[in-house]
Amino acid sequence: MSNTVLRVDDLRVTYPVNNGVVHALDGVSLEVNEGEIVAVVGESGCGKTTLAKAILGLQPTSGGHMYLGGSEVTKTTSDMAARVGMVWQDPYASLNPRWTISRSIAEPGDLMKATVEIPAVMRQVGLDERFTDRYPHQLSGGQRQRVAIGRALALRPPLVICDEPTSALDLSIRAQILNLLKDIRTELGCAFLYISHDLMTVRFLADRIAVMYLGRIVETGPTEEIFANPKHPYTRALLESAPTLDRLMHLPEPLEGELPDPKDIKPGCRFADRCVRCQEICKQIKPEATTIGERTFFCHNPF
Amino acid sequence: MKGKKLRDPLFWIGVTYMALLLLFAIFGPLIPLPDASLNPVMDNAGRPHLPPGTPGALLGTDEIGRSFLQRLAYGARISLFIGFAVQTINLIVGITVGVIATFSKKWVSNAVMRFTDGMFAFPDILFAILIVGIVGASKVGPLAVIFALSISGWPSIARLTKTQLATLKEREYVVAAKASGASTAYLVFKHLLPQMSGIFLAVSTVELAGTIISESTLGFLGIGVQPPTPTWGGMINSARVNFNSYPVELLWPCLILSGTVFSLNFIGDGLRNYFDPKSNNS
Repeated sequence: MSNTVLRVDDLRVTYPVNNGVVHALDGVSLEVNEGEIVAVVGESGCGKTTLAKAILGLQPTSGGHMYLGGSEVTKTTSDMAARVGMVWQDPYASLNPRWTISRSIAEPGDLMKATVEIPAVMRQVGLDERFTDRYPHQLSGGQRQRVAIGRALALRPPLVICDEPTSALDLSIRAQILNLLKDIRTELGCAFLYISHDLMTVRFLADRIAVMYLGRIVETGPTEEIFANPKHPYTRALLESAPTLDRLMHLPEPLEGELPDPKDIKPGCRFADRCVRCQEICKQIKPEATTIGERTFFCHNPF
Repeated sequence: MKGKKLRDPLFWIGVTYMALLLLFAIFGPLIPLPDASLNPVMDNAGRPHLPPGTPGALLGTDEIGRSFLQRLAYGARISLFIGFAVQTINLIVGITVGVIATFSKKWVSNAVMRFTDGMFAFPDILFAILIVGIVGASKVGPLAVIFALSISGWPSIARLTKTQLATLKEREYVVAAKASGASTAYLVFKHLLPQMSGIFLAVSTVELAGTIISESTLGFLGIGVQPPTPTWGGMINSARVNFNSYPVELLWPCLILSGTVFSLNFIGDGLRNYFDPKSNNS
């Protein structure tokens, strides 16, 4: 357990709404080990970003525990700040347009009363030193995302959370950023929690995958095993919905059924309404974890 | 925004006019008078209604012989001083209230904003009349007018601050700073307010025009800064009385006042277009 960087245990986040409560995270448990890249995948609204915000302390939790480097995290944000870096989705929005690059990179250090070696950080993320005094609008999208990554790495945190860091970038830039993240992992040995809906980048980058559906993790396991042999019907549907070269000309069958109303919690599996392998038990009883080797899935009737 | 140029000619006309007006307000009262009877402030019964062009009183004199040119300069001092003072107070109070409403608990925020809406509902002139009623018309000086006009001026800034902050505080770089352990004060002073400075400048410029109109209205109604201190509004009022015999008297204060209001609106519009990310005049 000593090399576990982040452990999330039965984390719950609820939002009160007009006529009920939305369970944005409904008992999420997750571990990220030292130097590991763990990807959280799932469709929009499944709670991926809520998970990131909860870990960063930006989202109040209503239950569960978080441990960072072995010690439990209480809800104070500043506690997390030095130990978790964050790379945001949109490099056009995540940098103050009126601040120079160096000021943005140095900000986490200023806030934590620590010094940041800006030239070293910029070298790390492959930014030329001539960018130091430039403003975000003078940089390309890829360069900005490098700045954002540098900002996240400024305090040398053991864990960096990336929330779809490539989704706002051109395809040609994407590969550069992904390679950069891999290089950083090799050089600094920091762990990544990589949140994405883009399965191609996940397959390229991640050591392990956690598949989320409506606030719950439905399946976790090593990347290649999950891609080769998905156990949970949702994982399979998700993988099949990704276009690949040999399937390019026939689009996948869309998932049947509606996303259930997150206010209206049914007792059974959350995926039951849309699941092709749904049985009576799935609608009644919440599936428990089944662990086979390194894999865990929550399904009554797995593949 | 950067690299965008302010090419709007009206903006530059406005800036030029306001620069000249500022110089006029500062140095106008210092123009030497060849004849003490032209003194713009004293009730001196010199030579009434001299025509424009008279040496020492280029724009003529009023019904008791005071030089219009110098009286306009004094009026400019009063108008600009009151206008800038009121806008400064509005910004300080409005921004403070807006920030409090944005970052405090929901019931505090609601209470503050409902109070703001209530204040917003009062016409500024009505408030001014109330203040004058309390102070007593004969004792009204610049400070009373500033107070009267500020009471009704800050709510619009408070609202603007609140709506702007509502979107700005959700920007990713603000959330990112928060995730890095930034306090609310840090977010407000380092990230949020600097981002809003352009909008504040544009809005305050336009509101400055409104304040100067209100100040002149009070002067015209005789409840502003009291005579013998010259004000544009007061000059318009006495010109109204003499209009049949000496119509040119009405021209000068009206010209300088409308020029000021137009200029400030031109400047405000130019600034607004400049700072508005949606306008595209680069």
